[in-house]
Amino acid sequence: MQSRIRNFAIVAHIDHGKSTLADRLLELTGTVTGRERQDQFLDQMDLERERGITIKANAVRMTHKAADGEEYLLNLIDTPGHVDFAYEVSRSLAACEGALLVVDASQGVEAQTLANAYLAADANLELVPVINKIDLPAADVDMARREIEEVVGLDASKAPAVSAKSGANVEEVLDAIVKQLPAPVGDRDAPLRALIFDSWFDSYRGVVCLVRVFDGELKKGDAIRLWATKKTYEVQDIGWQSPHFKQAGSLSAGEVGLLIAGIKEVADAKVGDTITHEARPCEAPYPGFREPQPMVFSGIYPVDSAAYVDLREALEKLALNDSSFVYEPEVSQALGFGFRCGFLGLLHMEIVQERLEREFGLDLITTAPSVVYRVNRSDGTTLDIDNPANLPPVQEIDSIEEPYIDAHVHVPQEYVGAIIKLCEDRRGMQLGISYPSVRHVQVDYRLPLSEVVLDFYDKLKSVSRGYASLDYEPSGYQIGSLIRLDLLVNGEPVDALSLIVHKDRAFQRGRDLCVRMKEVIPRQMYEVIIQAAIGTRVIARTTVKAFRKNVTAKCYGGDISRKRKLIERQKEGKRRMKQVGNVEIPQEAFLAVLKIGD
Amino acid sequence: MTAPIGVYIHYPFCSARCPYCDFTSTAPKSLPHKAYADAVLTEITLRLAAQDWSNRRVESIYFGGGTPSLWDLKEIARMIEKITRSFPLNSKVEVTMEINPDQLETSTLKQLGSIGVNRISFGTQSFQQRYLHALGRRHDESDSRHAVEKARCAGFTNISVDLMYGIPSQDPKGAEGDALLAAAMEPDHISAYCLTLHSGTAMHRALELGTITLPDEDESLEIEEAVMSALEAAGFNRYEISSFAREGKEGVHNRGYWTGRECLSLGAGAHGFRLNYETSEMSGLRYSNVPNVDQYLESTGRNEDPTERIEQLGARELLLERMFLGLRLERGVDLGELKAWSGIDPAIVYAGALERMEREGLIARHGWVVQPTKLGLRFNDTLSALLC
Repeated sequence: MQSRIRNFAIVAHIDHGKSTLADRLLELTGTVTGRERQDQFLDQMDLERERGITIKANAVRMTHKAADGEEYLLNLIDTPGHVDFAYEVSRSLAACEGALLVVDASQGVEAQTLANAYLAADANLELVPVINKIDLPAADVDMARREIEEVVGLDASKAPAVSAKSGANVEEVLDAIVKQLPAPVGDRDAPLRALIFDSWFDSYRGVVCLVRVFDGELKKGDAIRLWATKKTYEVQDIGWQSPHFKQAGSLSAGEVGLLIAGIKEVADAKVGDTITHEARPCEAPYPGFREPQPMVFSGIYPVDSAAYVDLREALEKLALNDSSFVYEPEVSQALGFGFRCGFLGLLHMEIVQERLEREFGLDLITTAPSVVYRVNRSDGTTLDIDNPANLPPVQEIDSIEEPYIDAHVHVPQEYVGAIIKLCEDRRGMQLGISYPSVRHVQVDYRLPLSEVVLDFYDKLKSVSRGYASLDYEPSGYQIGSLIRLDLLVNGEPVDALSLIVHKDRAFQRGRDLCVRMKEVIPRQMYEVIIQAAIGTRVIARTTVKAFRKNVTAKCYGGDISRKRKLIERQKEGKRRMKQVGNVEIPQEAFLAVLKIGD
Repeated sequence: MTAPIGVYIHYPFCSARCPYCDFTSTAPKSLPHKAYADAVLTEITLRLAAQDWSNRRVESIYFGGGTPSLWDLKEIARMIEKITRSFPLNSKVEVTMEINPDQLETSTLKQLGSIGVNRISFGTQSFQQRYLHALGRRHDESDSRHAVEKARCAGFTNISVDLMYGIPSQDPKGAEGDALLAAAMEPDHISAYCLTLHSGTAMHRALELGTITLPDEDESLEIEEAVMSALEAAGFNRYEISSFAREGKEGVHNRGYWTGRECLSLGAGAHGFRLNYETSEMSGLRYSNVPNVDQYLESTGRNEDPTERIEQLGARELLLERMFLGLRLERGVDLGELKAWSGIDPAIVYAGALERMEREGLIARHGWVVQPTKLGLRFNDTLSALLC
């Protein structure tokens, strides 16, 4: 039975046709009918379609009658695609035995082709190259084959050359999946061992888990236990998506599907957790589980303080579906009542903010992201700080520790120098450099998380022209020479603008921030003085000059509509402004720290 | 009830285009005097047929442009006649015509008076050659300086002159000198504008290229203050941001724009305003005609409405307009009156904005009356922005 199952992902450089190929496979196998056809079928969220990134994992079962006359079950597992979700990606890949590596015949191997190939190879997946877009006039299939062999190091002689757009030769991809990808090799008679690789909340069915069964068999009515939470449940419903939910009696070793077991919160169905039977548990869980752990924290405040309750309700709803997102109420002198929220990374933060604004119609101010600092106080107690404003007075602080991560960067040899320089600039400590293959280098660094969360990934991509891939895991806390940098607007400290920075960087950061603030704070009737200070010592200062006058000379006939529209448009701008004292501070100012050094 | 209205006739032709002007105007070789007048008369007939104007009375008529003084007098006479025949009139209807200071034979001015024009607005702009030159005006300083005198000789008792400041190369002293020269002519009204260069104009391009420079912000403010105080010292009252008048000589027509009065606007590119008094909350519309003269002549030639765009306005939008426009006036707005007019209470809708304006010294409140302060006039756009 397992010999007729293939579990696979599709990886590609952006725009090389991953989603189109997936759409075509769904159609060719009759999984999606013409009536249901819709581009980027697997990316269900509007945000995913717009940004062209996958946020949630997905799995679709297809059936395909192969040349040998046998019917095969093909599980296409759509994986998330960003370093913020590196752990989630690794769990989705763990559910697969292989992956299709899609390469655009007109572009050849590109940066993310390689970066994604490294990730898949790291997950021990068998890679089958597919050359796409052969319909393009600039297509050069031989060149693409050569590059796949030389740059990625895969045998491309048998790689199907297809046009996902027109559908040409796509059936060869199905044959390649069957012939070249390995079948799962679980033990059906062993105790149940299944991996949760994503979960979400459905208002009708409760928590739905995407699972991969490695050993044993999962049946409706089974009493199951989740390894990490130790909680037990009864399997209420089981099945798979094809592409809609199809009920089944069981899922056995090698299969991928959906599980519904009366789990109330996504926090109880953790990505990476192992499911086993209550009565006959497996000996060890599937390796690699990590508790979901927000890495960065920022304040989210409603522009209109009356929207606080709406914001709270919206956060509750989002958290229902996202166990890596946490929030708790906080109060800022400048911004009023809001919430301190924890995210996996900046993209995750942007996604949450965008969903809050779009799906819940809220106007928000988000403060600069911070990591969690550990403060050792002089009285021997320790305090975890996720908001720089809450740092105790200097005289009460013995030392401050900051979180570190161990970063693993895979990169072609020619970019190693640039990567090392970037890591050194970010206060990194080299852990090692290794050469998994001839031109492929792995660079390992221990880095302060605060130096990574802001723009490290973007910089990494830019210095390697996109070729580097990044994977990281937390590696504990270390004492650092850290201080709080305050920003004052017209002499008043604005708590929501405070930052914790390394002492050696404080002056530069203070100057850069003042300059950046000057750019984003619009001129007003009064002069606005912006100062950066450490304690009571001002280290940088800029001034937003006051308008001398602001008046339209003529206002007759047609000018009236124009002016009314101008005022109405300003209302849009105001939706992203917060008044602090007499000064209108735009959202960009609160995130100014993200933009310095550009 | 009869509601007062203004009638505006746009004459979109000039003998040449001024390099700072972004108004609808063209400078053709021969002027279609009669054809354009026929078109405007047709538009009047069309608008009369389309809407009921019986409960309106005309308070002012204004010939603007362009350069309406290029128009044949007999065509202007036909206009005035048609309007006075078609609508009930106020006994003291104000009839203004914009005139270039180089087109003023006393005999012509007298004829203007005889066909019913009783107010003249001179496009003088400046009274010194260097500034007229900088503005690319074709009349000279003596035309500017003798305009009022000539109009007085022709019997006019209501004369306005335009004064522009913030001209390239102007300093506060020079601007003050210009204001003094304007006041010395003893007009009844002065429209004093800070030069604003809109994109698409020749001077705006020159500014971008750096071939001309405008006074910087500090200097511009000094210039403005010099002009204001010179005019006020000469006995002109600043009743609106850019408008100064001797007692009793405020422009009836222009004031209408700032007080929510309807305006029947005619001609290519004209912008009109009509209210619907029948609804419980006020509603209305603003329309604009096709700006292209040929299109305008064509559509009226086919007896078709030359309206290009209509914008429907609800009570909230109308109230917003009344607020920002009214706060351009020295006398400000009466919240009680606006509530009765619009059906919405501005004291409630704009409670926060008014409180902030007052706190920042932009307005002063006397019961229901809200008046802009000097600061509120200087920062009128800042003040307006608080209304959103």
